[in-house]
Amino acid sequence: MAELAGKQYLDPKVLNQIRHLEMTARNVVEGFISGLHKSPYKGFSVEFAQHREYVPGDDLRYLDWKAYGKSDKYYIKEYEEETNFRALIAVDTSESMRFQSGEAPSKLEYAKTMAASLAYLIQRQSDAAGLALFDEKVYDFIPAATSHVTLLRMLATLEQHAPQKKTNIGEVLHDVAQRAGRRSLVLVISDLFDDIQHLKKGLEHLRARRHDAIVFNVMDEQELNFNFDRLTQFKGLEGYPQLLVDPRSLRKAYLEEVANFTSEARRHCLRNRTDFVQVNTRSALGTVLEAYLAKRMGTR
Amino acid sequence: MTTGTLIGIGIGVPLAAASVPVIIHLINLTRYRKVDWAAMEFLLAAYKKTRKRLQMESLIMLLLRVCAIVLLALAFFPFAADQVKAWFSEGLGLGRVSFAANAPLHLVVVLDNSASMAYTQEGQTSFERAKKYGLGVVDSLTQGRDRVSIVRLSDIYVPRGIGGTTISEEEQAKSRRRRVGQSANLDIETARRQLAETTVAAVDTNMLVALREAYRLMDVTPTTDAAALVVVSDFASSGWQELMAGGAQTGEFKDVLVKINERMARTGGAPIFYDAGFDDAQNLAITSLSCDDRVIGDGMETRINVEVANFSRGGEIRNISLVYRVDGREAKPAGGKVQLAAGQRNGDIQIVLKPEDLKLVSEREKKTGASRHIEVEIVEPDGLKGDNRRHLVINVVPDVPILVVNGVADKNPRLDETIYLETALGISDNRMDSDARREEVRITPNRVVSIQPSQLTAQESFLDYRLVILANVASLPESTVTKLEEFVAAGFGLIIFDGDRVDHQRYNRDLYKDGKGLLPCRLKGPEGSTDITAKLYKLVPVDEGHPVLSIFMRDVQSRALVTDPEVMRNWRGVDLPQGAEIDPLRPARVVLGINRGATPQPFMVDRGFGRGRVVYVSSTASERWNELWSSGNGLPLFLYHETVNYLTNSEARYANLGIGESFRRALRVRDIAPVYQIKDPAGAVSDIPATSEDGLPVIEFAGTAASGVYTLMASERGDSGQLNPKWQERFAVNAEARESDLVKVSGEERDEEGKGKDVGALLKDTLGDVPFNFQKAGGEREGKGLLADDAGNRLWLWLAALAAFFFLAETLWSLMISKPEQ
Repeated sequence: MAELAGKQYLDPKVLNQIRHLEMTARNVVEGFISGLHKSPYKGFSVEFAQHREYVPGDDLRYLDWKAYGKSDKYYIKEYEEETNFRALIAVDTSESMRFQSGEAPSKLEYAKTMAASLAYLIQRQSDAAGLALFDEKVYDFIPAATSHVTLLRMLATLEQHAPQKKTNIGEVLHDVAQRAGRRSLVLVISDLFDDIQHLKKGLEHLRARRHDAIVFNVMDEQELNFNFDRLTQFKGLEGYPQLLVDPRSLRKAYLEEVANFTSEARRHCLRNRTDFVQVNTRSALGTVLEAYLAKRMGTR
Repeated sequence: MTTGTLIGIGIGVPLAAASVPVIIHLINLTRYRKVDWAAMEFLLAAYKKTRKRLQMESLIMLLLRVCAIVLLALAFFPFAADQVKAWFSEGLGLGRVSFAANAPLHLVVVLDNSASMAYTQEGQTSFERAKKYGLGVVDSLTQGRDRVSIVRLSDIYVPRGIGGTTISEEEQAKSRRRRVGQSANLDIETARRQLAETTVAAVDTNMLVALREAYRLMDVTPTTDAAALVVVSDFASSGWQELMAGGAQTGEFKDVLVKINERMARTGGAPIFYDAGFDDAQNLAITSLSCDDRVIGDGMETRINVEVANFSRGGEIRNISLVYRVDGREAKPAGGKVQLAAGQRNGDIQIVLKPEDLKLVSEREKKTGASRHIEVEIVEPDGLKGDNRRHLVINVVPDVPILVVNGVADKNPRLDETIYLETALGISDNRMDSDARREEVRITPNRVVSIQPSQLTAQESFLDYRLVILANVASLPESTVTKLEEFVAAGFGLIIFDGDRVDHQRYNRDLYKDGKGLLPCRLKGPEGSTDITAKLYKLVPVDEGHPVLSIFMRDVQSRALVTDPEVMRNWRGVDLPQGAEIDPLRPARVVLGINRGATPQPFMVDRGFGRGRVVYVSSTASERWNELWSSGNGLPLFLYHETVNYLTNSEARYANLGIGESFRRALRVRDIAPVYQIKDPAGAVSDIPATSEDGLPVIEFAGTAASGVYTLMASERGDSGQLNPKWQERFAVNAEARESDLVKVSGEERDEEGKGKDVGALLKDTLGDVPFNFQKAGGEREGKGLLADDAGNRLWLWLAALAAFFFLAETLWSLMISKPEQ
């Protein structure tokens, strides 16, 4: 059951925490929640999506009488409601996302939960959400849609894929920019462990295609603070070599490298009107989203 | 444990210690945590930037740890420290060490078992501590491979010459080597047993000679074997003061230690000094007990001179009370308390023995005399009991028979040769006693018998007398000369006065015998003038240390008695023994001279003959050649009394011996008995055979190892074989007084509190660069056997401090480089 398989990423506490939020930010969703504000897009329509068997309680307005006449069975017509907001959640599933320390979830687990929560939130607003899973390239893509089935597919997809291969964020963003179609909000969830110039070019491409983007830089606590206390052999993921070193003596230089990278990534995001949010996997997910949305509202 | 093993430790300990941090480092390199790491790009970039610095830090840390561990190891294994120091200083490498690593070890233990080692404190003697250490060292050796030599100070001790006789250096060395040889090159088990059986031997400390003997034993050790030296002593001032810096024997001490180190350097190591003594030792002692009157006659009053001392440093003033006993009877107090501050002596204490104390009681005693045992004791107890009591034996004689051979008998006293002399020698004193009752008290025991020269041939023997005086006797028959030689050789005295009747050529032939006879010098023709109006010359002391002159040398006035009067008119010229005539053990001593010319002409010459002595006077006993008796100042009275005392005190000298001195007693005809026995102070009785010396029967006893009174008993066997006492005689044996000074040697320098240096520092001052190890009973390294610490320079302390510094530096360094960024 696809529905059951993906539910582990829908933490009720998280959903409850973000339910009351109003996504009113200018750059995030004009018309993110129908009726609250005026959409910039016009003439949207409702498209048929699929049939399903009638169950008591269903609205009889959606009963497909033609299908009843042909098959003598009651079917309910389900529609995909078109909206003027499309969000594409791009989740990095490269090998580097497998990393975790202590009690915290792995970066990938955290990213999947984050993606599922965002997708649920978006669909709850009757907006369209799509999913792109990537490592060196986008290997799984679900176009943005408002249907519940799409959400279930997204959750099932998130659950199926194990981390592997390297990140190629630049190539991926080029691909996402193409596939997203009309203007969308691209939510990139990744550790961004790639050449910073690739990220820069990807962001420029998104911007050129008039997409908005938010980059969630998911990092583990140890990756951010490097609090190792004894001799450690670091086995590189994504094909990097291993290194035996006393981390205490290397900490300062490492933190400088991380800070430089973060600073550079943030700078490129700002240049391309992209929000950059660094997320610690030990932080509560709801708190992170709340903080992000509050910031978006504050900058409207 | 052999020196080879120790050398192995010497190299092994630092290497093992140095390898510990390296091994830990290597182990740590295998005990790391493994982490799959995503942000490897950042880590690699950081590593690339800091790699060189990290390697340097790691190296420094490792070096700090190695240094700290090595220094700690060296601090706790000072032998290894010494070895390392030796390698550095001598530039020698590992080859020598490996060469000796398993070599057999010859360990020489110099064990101080002198009297001071009996000092007891906290229920333990210094000697018990010394033996415990010595046994511990021996136990650490390897059975079947290593050997031990024990040099006890009692083996080194050679008693002073007896009765004026001396033992040559060569004889002393032979005696020592014979005794030391009995404990040389022992296997471990035998050495252990001998050490355990060794006791304190009331001898004095002669450490320099002991070390020379130790070096001799080490030097004859095969060169392929290791040699080691351990010196165990209480480091009392009495035995060590002269060896330490500023002492008279410092140079010799250092020389022998240099030689010992050179021997030990062949296989490594340095001599170990172990201090088994107590730092705060305090001791009261009787350091001297003597009697002025060397021959005591029945009914004479006698004074005993006592010297007491307080051997302590910085202690309180001590009250000393003395008691004395005569023949073990009830103790009597001897005067009041004497107060002595630390380090002070008092030699002015006198105990007056009344005539009744020494009186001859039985008929036998009145006939043969008797020996009286005087025991003086300090009442206050202290840690060294042996020197709180001293013994003195006084031989009380009915009288001292003196035979005077009067060469010129005349009714006119001025013309008689010996009338004045006989009168002077038999003089008595009238004094008032406490009851104001006039009583005659003898001041001399002499009983003078005068004969003519013609009567000499009728004398079967002179052994009934203690002294024979020949006064202006022309010549002596050959038989008389022989009898006189036997008499003097047996230990008695002879005075020869010259005069106009003396045939000096016959004297030279019969009595001088080219230095082999009785006469101390060769006689020549008369000097001076026989004219009674001729110039008179003064006497002059030549040998001021001679016992005859001792009463004259006490002060200026007494000296003037001899030097002021012009009394000598005529005398005989003499030649002292020359070349082959000289007997080195019995040299002729000019006691008094006649002050004429650049060199005084001999007036009184003294020389030993056998066990007795002969005094030759180059002028007359009468006023025939001089005006001694007319000088009016009592000079001849005192001079001849002292000379008689000097020549008749042989029994007194032989009755009071030092530890180790042999007791010898010549047997007169009437003394001969079938059985002779000696009873020692502990009451043990042993048979002593009579031996022959120069044709005379003699009793000799060499077992005077303990202080106290010994009794020589002559007995006859009864019909049923039981022993019936014939006569008995006692003699006293006392330890050397200098052993009583057991205050630890501390040098001349004193701090503000009056304290000197400790022994280790003093040894360092004395020996300078000469390597040694110092251990102390109850010290930090107690019981560590040969792994001694170097208290000489406290190297271990410095090493430990350096190690602590390195550990601290390493910790700080470690904290600094791992400090989290804020």
